[in-house]
Formats: sequence, structure tokens, C-alpha cells
Amino acid sequence: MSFATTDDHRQLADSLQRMLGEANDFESRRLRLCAAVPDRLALWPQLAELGVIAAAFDDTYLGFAGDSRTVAVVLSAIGESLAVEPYLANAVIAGRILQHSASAHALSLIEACIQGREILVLAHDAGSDPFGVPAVAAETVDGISMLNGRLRCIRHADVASSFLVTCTERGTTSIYQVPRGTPGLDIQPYRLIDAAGAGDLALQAVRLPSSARLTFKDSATEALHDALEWGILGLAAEVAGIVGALNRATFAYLTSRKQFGVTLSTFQALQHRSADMFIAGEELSAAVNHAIEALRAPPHPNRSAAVCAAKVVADVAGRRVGHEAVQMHGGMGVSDELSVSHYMRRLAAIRAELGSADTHRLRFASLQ
Amino acid sequence: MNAAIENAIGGTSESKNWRAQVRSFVQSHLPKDLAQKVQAGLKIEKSDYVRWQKILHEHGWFAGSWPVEHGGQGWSLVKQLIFTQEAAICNGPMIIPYGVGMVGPVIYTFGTDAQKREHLPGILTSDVWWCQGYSEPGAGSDLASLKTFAERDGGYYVVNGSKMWTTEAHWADKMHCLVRTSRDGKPQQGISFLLIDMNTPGITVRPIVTIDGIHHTNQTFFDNVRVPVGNLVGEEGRGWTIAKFLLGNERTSIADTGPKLRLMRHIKSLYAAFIADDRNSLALKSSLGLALADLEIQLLTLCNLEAHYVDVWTSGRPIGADASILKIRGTEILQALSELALQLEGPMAAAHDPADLHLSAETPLSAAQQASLIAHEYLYGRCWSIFGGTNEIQRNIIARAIL
Repeated sequence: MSFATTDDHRQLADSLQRMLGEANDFESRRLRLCAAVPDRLALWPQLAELGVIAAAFDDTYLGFAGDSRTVAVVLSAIGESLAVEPYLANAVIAGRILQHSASAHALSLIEACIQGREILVLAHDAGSDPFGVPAVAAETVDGISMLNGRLRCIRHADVASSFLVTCTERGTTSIYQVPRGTPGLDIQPYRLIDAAGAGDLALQAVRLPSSARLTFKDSATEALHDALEWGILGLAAEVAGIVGALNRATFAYLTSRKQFGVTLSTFQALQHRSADMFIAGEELSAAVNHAIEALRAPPHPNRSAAVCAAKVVADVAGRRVGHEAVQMHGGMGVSDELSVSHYMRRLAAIRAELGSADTHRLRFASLQ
Repeated sequence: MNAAIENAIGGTSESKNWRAQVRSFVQSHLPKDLAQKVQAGLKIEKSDYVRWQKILHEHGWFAGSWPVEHGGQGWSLVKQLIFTQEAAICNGPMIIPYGVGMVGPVIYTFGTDAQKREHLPGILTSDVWWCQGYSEPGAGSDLASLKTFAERDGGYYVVNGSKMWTTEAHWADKMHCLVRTSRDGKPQQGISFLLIDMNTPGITVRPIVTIDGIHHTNQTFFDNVRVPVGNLVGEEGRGWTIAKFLLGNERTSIADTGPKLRLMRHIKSLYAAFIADDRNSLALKSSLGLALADLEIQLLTLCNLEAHYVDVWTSGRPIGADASILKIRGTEILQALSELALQLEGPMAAAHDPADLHLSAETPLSAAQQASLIAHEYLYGRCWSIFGGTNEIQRNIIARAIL
């Protein structure tokens, strides 16, 4: 499933797929995900060199695209090849926040990101609703800011070089850059269901110069909400890539696996379920396209509603196709030796990221 | 909920009294560390299962379904199911079925006196551990197409082929196995039931890690494995009848409501924590509250349906499509329960590390580790609708019975 509409999109998708096809095969992927940094990030310099990170930034910010369709094209290819690298976290979500910031410092961070030198991760925990109030408290006195609080399940905390920590300060949102190793920042790392890493962050009296607080053209809240919406689009596009890959694998299996002397594809019950899997993929494609177009416009309730819809449709389609693909592969579907179960696990991780389907249904309802 | 469940199976004062006896026995004899492991959802090792099964055996609580003459308890079906359910509610580990539930009844029903003398005592003491060899790479749902061949050579069968999904074969001393002894006639007619010592030369056990990242199951290869003819159970070519008998016995306990009731208890504690968190909106709380109520109703109904079928089986109706209904609904409800638990974990639901399954129950688990064990339930839960006869095969059985 591709969201490409121009030759530029298609070239980007082709070169990314070619690179991931060679470097992210099943066995090298498994070894990379078990490895410690820097081996864990072996793919990262290649993504930078290919210009995939730069593709998430527009030319004002040292990139060459930066539009929502390009982001969806890249994430769909990432989903298809099951690459669990910090692309969305770093290039898209942290990238959007930096693009909202007017400072020279933000520009230097973008440059470091694009070159693959820095991996920036948004450290944001607002409970079950990502659009809620940030959990960390910040207070600035005499040019020194003090951060206190806990952040759960920050994806890629294990590989991040720096965190963009969302805070509540004087009743509003602020965002600070907190480099790994800052005194008072404790990271408890653990593994996620898709084999990527995450961590719980504890900030205890983290003292920063107030210059560590990012400045914005508008407000930190607007930057944050915009970045979250782009992140949600990225997840939905990734699900679309996964759903496409799972549907292809399942339909091929049904037309080749024989039981009772016939291929499984001759059973009408399975034909109908395959049709439903295909329908789910088509609906998801439409929902992602709608969100891509919506994100071309400045923030607006209609834009937000399109993004919520994409997350909900991705959740429904991903759940159905993930479970059905496993079930229809029978015993092999639940084996760790086949990629099908790994795709299903990535879908389970996405379901928990950036708000559940119910959270987005409720947000959608509140926007109408 | 609990009162409703407790009255479900049997429904008489006698069965309530039996449940109270089971609870009292399990609470006083189940080792504390084992109960903690089961409650937390940690991995139960072979030595744990053996320890619990030996305790049951020593106190006259093991092999409930076996006739007394063969060393069992001669319990009615109602008593068996109440025991299984209540022991699970009290955090008892499951009874591993491959010996006592599967091959034991086959041996005392179809076996020779010599086979009974050789095999039944080790099953009762849990000193001899069994696995099953049924599915093959090309014979899953279509079991009768199995190809592993046993060729007669003097006093031996020479076995060649491979068996898939031989769960816990890496723990097993012996395997009960379906092999082909003839390629003539209908596929079902050429199948025989063999007992194979896992230490026989020519057997290789290859681990298969499942979706949860854990080694439960295997593929077992047979390369000119010589099995004494005395290990054939029943007549040559009767294997299919014996397999149907064996699987039929297993079908009475297929709803497996005990562990689901235990999981429901855990989900209710997660829900209480979710409600107590002010950051969760009222709307989300009520949405998940409705989902929880819906699942509790489904589980209550499963328990009631199981109780109803137990009644009709006890009054003599043969087990048929009804067991398939319990398998389908039981596995669907288990899967839905684990998904609801993940929703209640919120952003933490993505945490999962297979290594967490081996943590000690003695030290408190972190939030991520607790979430990891829930994710394990979710992942392993996907196996239940596939293993032991897929839900598709169960639906075929129901459709054949009603159309």
C-alpha cells in the first residue's frame, strides 16, 4: 500500500524499500534488535545517508520535503519492512517540534538529526490521552529551571541522545531539551512487545539553564499538538504498510497451503474473511489519505478529527488483520520463526502508542 | 460473580460442599511460592508442576477421572470439573494433561496388562513425563493425512518422519504418538498408536519459540527410531479410534473456566487502579467499564453453558458439538480478556519482555514487568484458537451437527 503520488515519492519509497530489503532481512533484524548501541542502531547511518531523515523536513529547515504525504510514504515502507527504528520519534515527532521552534539552537539540532548524529525523542506522558496535561512540573527562578516528575513508557529512551521533555509550567506547557546523562535524570529501560526499547524516566530536581527551554513561533502547546498529530498520521501510515504486507502473505499462504486435499483458499469461510481483511486495508488507505490531506492545512478541529479517525481506523484494521493473519497461518502464525507474529506484535505496540482507539473516538466526538 | 459461578457446575448442595473441600485442600497444601507464581502469571517450570502433582497424588487428589481400580479417584464429571475450576481460582497450577489426562486413560482402556503395569504407576507419581506426537508439518487441521511411518522389522517398528507442536517434548521421558503403519485404504485406517521412549536413538527435538518469545513447543524428528512392538497400544490400524477417544476425554474440560476467572479477578484490580487515576477521563472510565461488564457477562454465560453441558453429559448424552461451542467461546473470551487488560494498562501496554516470565515471585514486580506479564497473556492467547483443533475446525463440527 503506497501513498506515493509523485515521482519523487516513488523514488524515495523505492530506494528505502531496496535499502531495507537488503539491510533489514529477518535475521539481521533479529540480531540488531538484541544488540546494544551502537550495533542496535546499525541501520541509522544508512537512513541518514539515504536522505530519509531529511525527507521529514522542508527546505527552510535543511530538508527537502517535509510534507505529510512524504512522511506517510516513508512510514508505510517502514511498516512493510518491519523496521522498528526511532524514525517516527526522531525525524517526525521531535522534528515537527524543532520546526516549530524559531531558534538557531533548534536549527542546529535539526542538522544533527538529519546527519544521524543525534537521536531526539519527545518525552511526553499525559496519561491515557496524549492531548492531556504533561506530567512533569517545571519551575524557573533566576534563569534556572527545575524539572520534577515521572514519564512512563518513553519509546526509544534506550537509544535517545537527548529528550524533549514536555512540562507543565505556570499552568501552561513548556518543552525542555534534556540530554541523556543530565544529573537528576534516571532512565529505567525495558523491552517492548515489538522488540524495540523504551524506558521510564524519573526527573528529580533536574536543573537546567532556562535556555534549555525551547522557544516557539506560536506556543509550546501548539507545537506539541501538531507534533502529536503528525506522529499519529505516521503510525496510521505504518499500520497501512503492515496491513498490506500481512494481507499479501496471508493470501499467498491460503492459495498454497493444502489440507484435506485442497488449498485453504477453496474454503468459502476463509474467502470471506480474506475479503474482510482486504476491505479493512482499503478503508485504512482512505483514512490515511484523508489525514494526509488534512495535515496540509494549519491546525483546525477538522484537521484533528481526520487524524483521530485515521488512528481509530488503523486500530480496527490493524487488530483485525493482525489477528486474522496469525489465525489463518495456523500454528506457523504463532511461531516466532515467521514474520507474521512479529507484524502482529508491532501492531499491538502501535495500539498503545499516542492514545488508544477509545481515546481518539472520544476526542473525535469532542471536536464535532 | 463469584457466587453465581460457585453455583454453576452441579448446582446442588453436594457440589457446593465439594467445592469447599477443594478450596480448603488447595489453600492448605499448595506451596506459597507456587501460588504466587501462578497469581502473578510467571512461568511455571516442570519441577513446579511435578511438585504440585506429587502433592495431589500423595493426598489422594490426583487422577480424579481415573477408576479407583487403576489408582484414580473415580470422581464424577461434576466433581472433576469443580476441582479443576476451583484449584485454578485458588492459584493452583494446571495439571499437565499429556500423561494423566491423555495417555493414561488410553492405556487402561486399550492397553495390555503389561502396558498398564509398566506405564500407569509413573503417570500417577508424575515421575514419568509424557508429550504427544500428533500434528505434522503437512498434517495440522487435516490430522488424518499424517505421514510419519512405522515400518515393522521383526520385534520392532522403525519410525521415520517428524511431529510438529510437540509441546514440552523437551521435558518428556515418553511420547504417545500417531504413526502410519499402512498406506492402504482410507487415511484413517492406516494409523496406529505407539508409545515411544524419548531416549531412543534417532530422536531429535528442535525448539520452536512461539509468538510470546518462550520455548514451550518443539518439532520432533524421527530417524530410524526403533520402537519395540510391545509399545503398540490396541491393534495395528486402530490408532484413529484411540485418538478420537483420547481427544474426546479432553473435550469435557475444554471451557477451562478457572484460569479465565482468575484473569478476570486481576482485570478488576487493574480497572480499580484505572478508575482511581484522575487523569483518565470519566468518558474513558465508563467506556472501559462497559467493556468490562460485557466481558464479565460473557464469562458468566460461558460458566453457565459449561454447567449445562456437564449436566447433559452426566445424564448420558454423548459429547459432540457442544464441546466445540465451549472451545470457541472459551478461547474468544480469554483473548478478549487479555485485550481489555492491555487497554487498562494504557501506554504501558506496549511493554513486553519474555525474560520477565522467569522473574522471582518473591520480589515486587515493576509496573513495566507487570504489564509485560499481561502482554504475555495476550500473545500466548493467540495460540488457544489454533492449538488443540482450530476454531475453524470446531465451527465445521458445529455446522455438521446442525445443518
